Amino acid sequence: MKVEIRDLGTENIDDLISVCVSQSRLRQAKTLAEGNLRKKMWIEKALEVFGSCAKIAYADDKPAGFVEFYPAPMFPILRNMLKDRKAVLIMCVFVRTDYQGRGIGSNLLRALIEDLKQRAIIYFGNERANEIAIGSWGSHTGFPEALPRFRRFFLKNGFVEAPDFPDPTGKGGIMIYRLID
Amino acid sequence: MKPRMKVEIYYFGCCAWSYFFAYGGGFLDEEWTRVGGDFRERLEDNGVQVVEINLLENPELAERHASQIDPYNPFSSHQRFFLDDKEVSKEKFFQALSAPEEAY
Repeated sequence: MKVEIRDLGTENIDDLISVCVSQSRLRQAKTLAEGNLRKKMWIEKALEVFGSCAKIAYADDKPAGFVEFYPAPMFPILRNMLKDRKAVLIMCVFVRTDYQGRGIGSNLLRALIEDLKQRAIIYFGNERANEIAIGSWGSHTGFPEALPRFRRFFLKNGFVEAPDFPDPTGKGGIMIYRLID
Repeated sequence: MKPRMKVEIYYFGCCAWSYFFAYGGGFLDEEWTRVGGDFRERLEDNGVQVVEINLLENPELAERHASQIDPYNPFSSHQRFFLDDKEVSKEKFFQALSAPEEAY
């Protein structure tokens, strides 16, 4: 299986969206289809303002997974708590179930880390990000069964637990990767 | 006369699921329309003003009106319901929406 990681651009927005919802039994729901349209509109704007905000993994040229990320201080509530930090927030990392267990998720994270180590980000005044953060899906989305796997995956990829990282919810479970110490 | 009715939908524009859950996944489909979709059209047909707010584009509105949003959770969303510009509970809103015209 040949795996290739590509940056999100205007030409492959539909690939990103398809990976996200293609395996759900709810994929035909009109509310979800509308959500896909809203996401597409948002991504088109985000690409102009932030540059590429996702990486897509292609397995034998088929979209198989993605990691999506944004400057953390652009998020409501966090913008007040993180205004002095150049943190990138991973909003989602996902690999289709039929491609899981083949290192694609780790490939995506490695590509993101390498990219952010050298990319100047307009949102941070053309400076590089200092850290990458993610809130655990176990704590923050209410899937506690996902927590052990989540932790293993991110620890394996160089993330560390960050109990002091600002978290307005008090749920904890934030993990970060330090790009610059 | 029926009150003026408005729904505000707060969702993360970066996540289709946030939009889906903002409508309850959807609260309109399951509790009201029961048609599996067309929520917005159905509301508007009933004279409800629907305002959709992308949390990423309107952080100040989120902080003012949806401060319990979890910014680490891509599925996070929020709704507000109004009758004659006064915020009311979801239950009261749907009660008013479902009431026959003669009730007013």
